[in-house]
Amino acid sequence: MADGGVVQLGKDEELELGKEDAKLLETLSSQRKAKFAFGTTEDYLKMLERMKELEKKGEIIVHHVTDDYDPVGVRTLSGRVKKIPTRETWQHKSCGQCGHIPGYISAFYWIMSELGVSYVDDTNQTSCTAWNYYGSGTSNPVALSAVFLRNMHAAYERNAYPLIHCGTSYGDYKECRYLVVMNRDIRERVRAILKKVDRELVIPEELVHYSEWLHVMRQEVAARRKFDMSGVKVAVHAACHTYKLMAEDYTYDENILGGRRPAPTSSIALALGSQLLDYSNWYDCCGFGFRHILTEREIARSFAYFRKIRPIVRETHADVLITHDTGCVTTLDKSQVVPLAQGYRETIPVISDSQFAALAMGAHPFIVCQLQWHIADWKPLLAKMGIDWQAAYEEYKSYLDKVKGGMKPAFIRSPPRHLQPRPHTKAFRVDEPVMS
Amino acid sequence: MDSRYAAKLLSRLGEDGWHYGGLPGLQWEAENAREGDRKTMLQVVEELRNDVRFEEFYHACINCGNCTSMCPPFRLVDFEPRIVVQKVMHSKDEPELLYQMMDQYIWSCFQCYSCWEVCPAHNNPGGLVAILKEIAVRHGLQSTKKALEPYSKILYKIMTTGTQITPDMHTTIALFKDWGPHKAELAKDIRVERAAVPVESMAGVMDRSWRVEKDTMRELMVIQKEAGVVDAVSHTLKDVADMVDDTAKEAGAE
Repeated sequence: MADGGVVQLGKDEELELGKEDAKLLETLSSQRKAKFAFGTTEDYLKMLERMKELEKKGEIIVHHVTDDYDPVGVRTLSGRVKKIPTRETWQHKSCGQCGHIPGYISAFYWIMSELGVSYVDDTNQTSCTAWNYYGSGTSNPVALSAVFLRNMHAAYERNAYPLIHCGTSYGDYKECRYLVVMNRDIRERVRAILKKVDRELVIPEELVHYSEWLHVMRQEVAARRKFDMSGVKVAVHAACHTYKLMAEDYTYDENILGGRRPAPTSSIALALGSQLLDYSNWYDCCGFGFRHILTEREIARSFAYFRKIRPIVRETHADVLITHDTGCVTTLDKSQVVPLAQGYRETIPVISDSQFAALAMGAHPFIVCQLQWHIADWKPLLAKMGIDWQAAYEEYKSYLDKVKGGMKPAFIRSPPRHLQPRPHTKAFRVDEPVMS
Repeated sequence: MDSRYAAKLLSRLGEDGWHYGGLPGLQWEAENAREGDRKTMLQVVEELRNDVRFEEFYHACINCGNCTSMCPPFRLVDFEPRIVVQKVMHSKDEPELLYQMMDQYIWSCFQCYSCWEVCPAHNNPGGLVAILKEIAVRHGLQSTKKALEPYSKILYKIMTTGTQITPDMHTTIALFKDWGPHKAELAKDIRVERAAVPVESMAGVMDRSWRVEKDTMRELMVIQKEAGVVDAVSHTLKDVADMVDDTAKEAGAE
C-alpha cells in the first residue's frame, strides 16, 4: 500500500491515494492495529529490533535459526514470519511430561526418529523452574531469566536449536527474553550470574514450541500415516501459556480455523485426515492453576470437568481430546475420575498431539506412546483407529517381563547429527556421533 | 495514619465487609487490612510499582470486565481480575486496598493469562498477581505460608534439581489419590514401568523427571542463591530455604 494506488473501500467505493498519503495511512493503521491487537504487538516487534541492536554492539550473542536447522516460516499473531527449525534441535524437556506422561515425549522422539530428523536429548538441562513463579511466587525475573539463558547456552554449546516442550516454559521464556532484551538492569544482573556458572548471554532468535514443529512437519507426518483417520473425531484444547502469554509470537494460519485460533495441533489433526470439531468453551483453560492442581484440586477438577470435558463431549461427541501441553493433558485426563465416580457419564481420552500423530503413524500404543499412564478410557479410540490394542497390550506385558528380567529397552535414538558442538565450549568434549 | 483518613476508610466497611473502598472484599480480608501494619502496606505498594514488570503489566483500567468474563477461577471462587487491576490502580492513595488483596485473594489466580489476552487496555492482571505473590513471599505473610506449606517438597525439588512432578509420586501413599484405581494399578510395578520407557534420559529415573547431571543442578542452585530466591523463600518457608542451602553447600554451589 505504501506505493500508493487505488484502495477498495466498499462495494462501489474506491479511493485513490498518493504515495505520501498511502505511507501515512499505513503508519497510522499499523499503529492502530498494534494498540488494538492486544497492545503489545508493536512492543514485541521493537524488542526483536532491540535484540538485533544488542547483537550488533556485541552485548549479546544471538543464536540464529540458520539454514543448518532447515527452517520453515510460519505466520504469528503479530503478522511477522517466524522461523521454525526442523532439524538439529535441542530438546528442552518438560518436567511434568517426563515425570507423569512419558509417552508424550517418547512419541515425539519416535516421530523425529521415523522422519530421519536429528535431535539432541541433553541431560544438561533444568526445567524452566517457572512452576515456582506462576504457582507460588517463589522466584523472580532475574532467577527465571538466568535459568532460561543457562539452558539456552547449553543448547548453543551443542550447536542445536532449542525446541521447547512445555507450554509454560515457552511462555515463561518469551517473558524472560523480553525482560532481558528491554531492561539493562535485569540483563546485567543475569550476565553476572551466568558468569559465575561459566556461561555467556546467548539469546535465541526465535523461541519455538514443539507444537509449532509438528505444525510445520505435518505433511511429512501425514505421509507416513498407517491408519485411516477419516472416521476419527477430534477436539483440540490449545494451552493458555502457548497463545495467551506473549500472544503475538505463536503460530496462526489463515487456512486453519480461519486464522482466528492458534494453528498448531488443529493442523496436525486435519493433516492426518481426522475430523476436527469445534466447541463453545475453546478459550477456557484446562483448570490446572499450578497451585490448585496440587493443593486445591476440587477447584481444578471441577473446572476441568464442567467447563471442558462435559461440554466437549456433549457438543462434539469426539473420540479424543488432543492438546499440546503438560498440565493440560494431566488435568483434563485425571479430572475425569471423581465425576465418573459421582455418576457423571461424559468421558473422553486425552492425549498429546505427539501421541496422536505417532499412533496414526503406527507407533506402539504402550511401548512408545505409553498410554497405560493415561486414565480416561483410550480403548474405544484405538479400536476406531483400527489398532488391535489387546494384542498390543499383550506385547507390552511380555516386554515388561523382559525388562523385569534385566533386558534394556531399545531406546529411541536420534539419527546421526550433521553439526558438531561449538569449539571452545564445555560441550565440545561431549562424545557425540557426527555424520561424516 | 491521619485519624480522619482512617475514619473515612473504616466507614466504607459494611457489616459484612462487602463494600470496602467500593470494591468487594471478604470480611476477614477487610479485618486484615484494618489491622495491617501501615509501613508494610506502603512498602508493598512501593515494591509493586517499582517492579520492572509493572509498566508492562499495568496501564489503566476502564472497568470493562473483559478479563473477569474470561477468568476461570471467577466461575468458582471469589476472585476477579478486574478487582485486581482496580485495586492496583487505587493503591497509591489507598494502600489498604492492595494489602487487603495480598491475603488469600491473589492465591486464587490460575495464572492462565486468559485476562491478559482480552484486555483492551493491555493490562496483565495475571502478571500483576504474579508480582504480588512474590512480594507476599518476601514479606512472609501468614496466608502465604498457609498457601505454600502443603507443597514444600515440590518447591525444594524445583530449586535443587530443576525438575519436580516425578514418578516416585506414583506410590500408593503419595499425592494424587483422586486419580482413582488406575493409579494403584500403575503404582504396583512403577519401577519396572519406568525402567521400560524407551528414552534413555528418562528410563529408570524415579526421583527426577529425567537424569539431570550433578553439575547442572549445581549451576541451578548457584542461580537460585545469587538471584535472591533462597533468601526470599526464607521469609515464608524457612525450613525449605535451609534445606536448599544445605543441599547447595553439599553440591559446592557457594
